[in-house]
Amino acid sequence: MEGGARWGRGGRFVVEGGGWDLGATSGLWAQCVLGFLGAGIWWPGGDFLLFILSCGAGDLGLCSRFQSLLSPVLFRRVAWVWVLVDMSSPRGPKACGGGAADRQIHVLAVDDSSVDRAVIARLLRSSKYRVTTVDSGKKALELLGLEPNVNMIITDYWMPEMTGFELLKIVKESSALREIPVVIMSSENVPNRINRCLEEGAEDFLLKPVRPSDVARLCNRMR
Amino acid sequence: MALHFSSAHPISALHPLLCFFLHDTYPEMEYASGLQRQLASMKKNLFDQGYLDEQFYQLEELQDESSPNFVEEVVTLFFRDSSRLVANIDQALQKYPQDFRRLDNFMHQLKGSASSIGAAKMKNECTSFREFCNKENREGCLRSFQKVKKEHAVLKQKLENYFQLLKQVGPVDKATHSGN
Repeated sequence: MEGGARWGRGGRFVVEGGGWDLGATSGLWAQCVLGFLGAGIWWPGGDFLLFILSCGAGDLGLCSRFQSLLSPVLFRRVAWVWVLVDMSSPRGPKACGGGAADRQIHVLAVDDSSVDRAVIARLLRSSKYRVTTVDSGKKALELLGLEPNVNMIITDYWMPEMTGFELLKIVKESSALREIPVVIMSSENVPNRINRCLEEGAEDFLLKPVRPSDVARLCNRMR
Repeated sequence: MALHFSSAHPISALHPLLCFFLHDTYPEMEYASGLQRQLASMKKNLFDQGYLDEQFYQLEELQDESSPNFVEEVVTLFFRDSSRLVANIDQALQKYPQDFRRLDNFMHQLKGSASSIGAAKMKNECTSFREFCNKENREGCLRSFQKVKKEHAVLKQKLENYFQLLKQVGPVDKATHSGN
C-alpha cells in the first residue's frame, strides 16, 4: 500500500496513506496512522514503524478502533500493540544537495533583502546544499564569471538596478552559463510575470516566503 | 517484532520505559518550568493576537544544532533593515510633490521582509499603505504609515521580550511550540 511518512511539527511522527489518517492526539503520545495494512510491519524500504496506542485520557475510542483494525490482521485479542521503530531514513529535510564536498550542489542565491538571503540560505543549507549569497544581479554575474562551479541560481525577481528576470535573460543568453538552471522567487503572484520567466527559460518560479516543500520540489527536479 | 500485552493497565508500567525511550522524540514529557510556561504563553499570545503567523514557525523549524540562534538572527536582521526603511519612508513622505513610486518601492521591501519573518500585522499594514499609494492618496498614506510605525514598534518590543525570556529558559525543545 502506498504511504508517506513525514516528521510533523513537534517531533510527532505521522504516517498517512490510503485514507487511514486518524490525526494527531494531544497529550503525551503521538498517534500513528495505519498506513500499510496488509503489508505487515515492514516498509518496502526496510523501515518499520512505531505504534504506541494510548488508551488513557479519552483515547479509548481510538484504541478500540485500532484493535479492531489490527486484530484480524495481526493479533487476536490485544489491549496494546507495541511495535519497535527503526527509522533508517534520516529525520528531517531530505539531504538533497549533499554528498561528498566535491559532489555537493552549489547554489548561488541572489536577493537584495538581507532577511530573505538569510532565510533562503538556511533553507538550502538544511537540505545540504552549498550556498553562496549575493545581494545583486551584478554581483551574481561577477561571481559566475569567476566561479565555474555553480549548479543552480535562485534569484529574487524584484531587485533594484537588475531584476531577476534580467539576470535570467543574461544567463540564458550566455553560452557559458545557459545550462545553469535558474529559479525565480517573488513575493507577488503575477501570472504574466511567472509565464514570462518560464518562457525565458526559468526552471521554476517560487512564491515567497519559500518553504521547505519548495526546496524539496527543486531537489526532485535537479536529480 | 511485536509485543502484545493483555494486562489491564500497562501504561503505568510502560510509562517510565517509554519516557526514556521516547525522550528525544516527545520532549513535551518534560514538566514545564514556570519560565517555560511563561514563554509558551507569551508565544501563544503573539500568535493568537495576530502579531506572528505560520512563517515564524517555519523559521523555527529551520533552527537546529548547526544554527541554534537562527530565528533571533533573522529577526535582528529584519529590525535593522526595517528601521532603515521606516526612516526612508518617513523622509520620503515629507517631500513634496510625493514620489509615490519610490514610496511603494520602500514599502514593497518592508512588506517582503515582514512576510519573511511571519510579522502578520505589519504585513497587513504595509498592504494598506500600498493601496493608498497606488491611489496616490497622500493623506491615506500618512495615516496608514502611522499604523505601520506603531506595529513595527510594538512587534520590536514584544520580540525583544520574547528572545530575552528565551535566553533565560535555555534551549527550548521544538515540541513546546506546537499548537497542541
